[in-house]
Amino acid sequence: MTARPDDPPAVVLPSPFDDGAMYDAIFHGFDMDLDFWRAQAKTAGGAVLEAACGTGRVTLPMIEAGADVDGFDLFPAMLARLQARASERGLRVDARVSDLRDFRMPRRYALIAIPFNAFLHNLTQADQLASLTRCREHLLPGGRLVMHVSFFGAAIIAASGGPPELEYETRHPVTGRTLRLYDQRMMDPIEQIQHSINEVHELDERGEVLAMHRSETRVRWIGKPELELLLAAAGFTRWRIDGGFAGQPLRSAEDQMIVFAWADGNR
Amino acid sequence: MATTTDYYCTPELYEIIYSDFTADIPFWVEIAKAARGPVLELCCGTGRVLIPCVEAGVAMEGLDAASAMLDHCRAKLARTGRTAELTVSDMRDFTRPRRYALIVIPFSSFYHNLTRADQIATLRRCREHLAPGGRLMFQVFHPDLRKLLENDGVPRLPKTIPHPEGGTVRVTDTGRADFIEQRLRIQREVEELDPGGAVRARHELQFDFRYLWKPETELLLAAAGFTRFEVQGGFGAARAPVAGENLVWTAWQDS
Repeated sequence: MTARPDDPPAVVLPSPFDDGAMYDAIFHGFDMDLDFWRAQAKTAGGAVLEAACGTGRVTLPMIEAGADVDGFDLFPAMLARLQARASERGLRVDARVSDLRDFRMPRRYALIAIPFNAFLHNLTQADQLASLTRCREHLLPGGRLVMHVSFFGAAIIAASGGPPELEYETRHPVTGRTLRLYDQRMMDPIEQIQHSINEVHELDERGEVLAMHRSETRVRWIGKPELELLLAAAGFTRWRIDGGFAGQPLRSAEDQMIVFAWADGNR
Repeated sequence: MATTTDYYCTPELYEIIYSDFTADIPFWVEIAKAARGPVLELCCGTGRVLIPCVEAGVAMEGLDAASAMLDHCRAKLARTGRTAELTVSDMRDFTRPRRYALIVIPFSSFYHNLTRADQIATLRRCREHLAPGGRLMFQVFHPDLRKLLENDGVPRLPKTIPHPEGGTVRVTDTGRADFIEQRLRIQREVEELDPGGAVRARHELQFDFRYLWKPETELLLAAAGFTRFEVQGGFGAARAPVAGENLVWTAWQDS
């Protein structure tokens, strides 16, 4: 069974990005990409823009690495949390509520970063192209767009229609309780759109569920050749697609795509 | 090493192997008849689709990169006293002196374009050869995960087809899929068996496919200059595409 993306969900659930504190409680320990983004920011050679910066999981480490970083995000709750965390650390950041598809920032950048599959929230080709075009327009001459996009592989398609899967487990940084993130996915392989119902279970010391937080989200997966067509259509002239944060080639469908794109026409 | 080109050097075997695939023929005949003008078929091969269209009274022209396939097609046409203009040509860079109301590419032949440059070149050629308001229609299979995963380098169960002159033809495919570049390489062993089951002849063939997802196909059509296109599932009346089944694309030249 596959879900059509236009099927209404059985219940209307919040987005996982409506609650910055819960988001952080789950992903506070997720750091596999931070060394990469710090290094990108340090070698950018100019100002950095992070799209869909959220609560600053990547933004703040880039600033602490010495980079001049602006950010934007669609969700005010995430940005409020970012500003609170920045203040705690004595940092200042220009982060505003904006949509990836039509953001306008007051300056151009040497690096635009889109970490952690944020680009996949573009659900139509028009949205994908608008987002890439906006990014290109905000790049300084010689600047680069860098984004992390998981590969649209067999495992992703196969996960469709099954029972909720335990995707991630961590400890709440404040209460110390176990948090389990379950994901139930329905994939439409024609449009490559995946509808996920997420559940975060908060467990007590005996393993009983104390609280459950449900949310839903949609992403549109992208294949590598498709991504290259999107980059070309948005005016990028050169790109490289690695298979991980260490610069390894893209070989396996389980790899992460790390995309570097340049617009040589930018003046 | 066998190549895709070699694969099409054995038209007699090709016809036997695909003799059971006829599901698309009535569909293409109806489409060709409705075009009311000369129709160009790319990758027409031995005329599996082209000859039924000619028999239905359509003025058909055919192109194929493999001269052996066209020779076979020509001989079959001659046997029934019919003709069609057949030209050896690569779909990526064909040039014809006229424009067409309809260009068709059946049976996933578009997937023999292995690079983005090849894909776009073929689509551009088609667009340039369409009369105003004319349309390109091509059929390709939508990737089916389970089938793709069978391309794991292990020979699949053989398929046996009766040989029209007695005995059988046994086909064993070994596929390898590159999920990153969306390529599929099939190594095919074809054995001709006599009625007693002894192997009379053996052929090693190979062909490559570069499969497409739907959103990617839309980007390719746009990159080739098409501004209006749509896709349907299957060969019947228009219906929504179904994952893992055949898709039929239609792209219109501007009026």
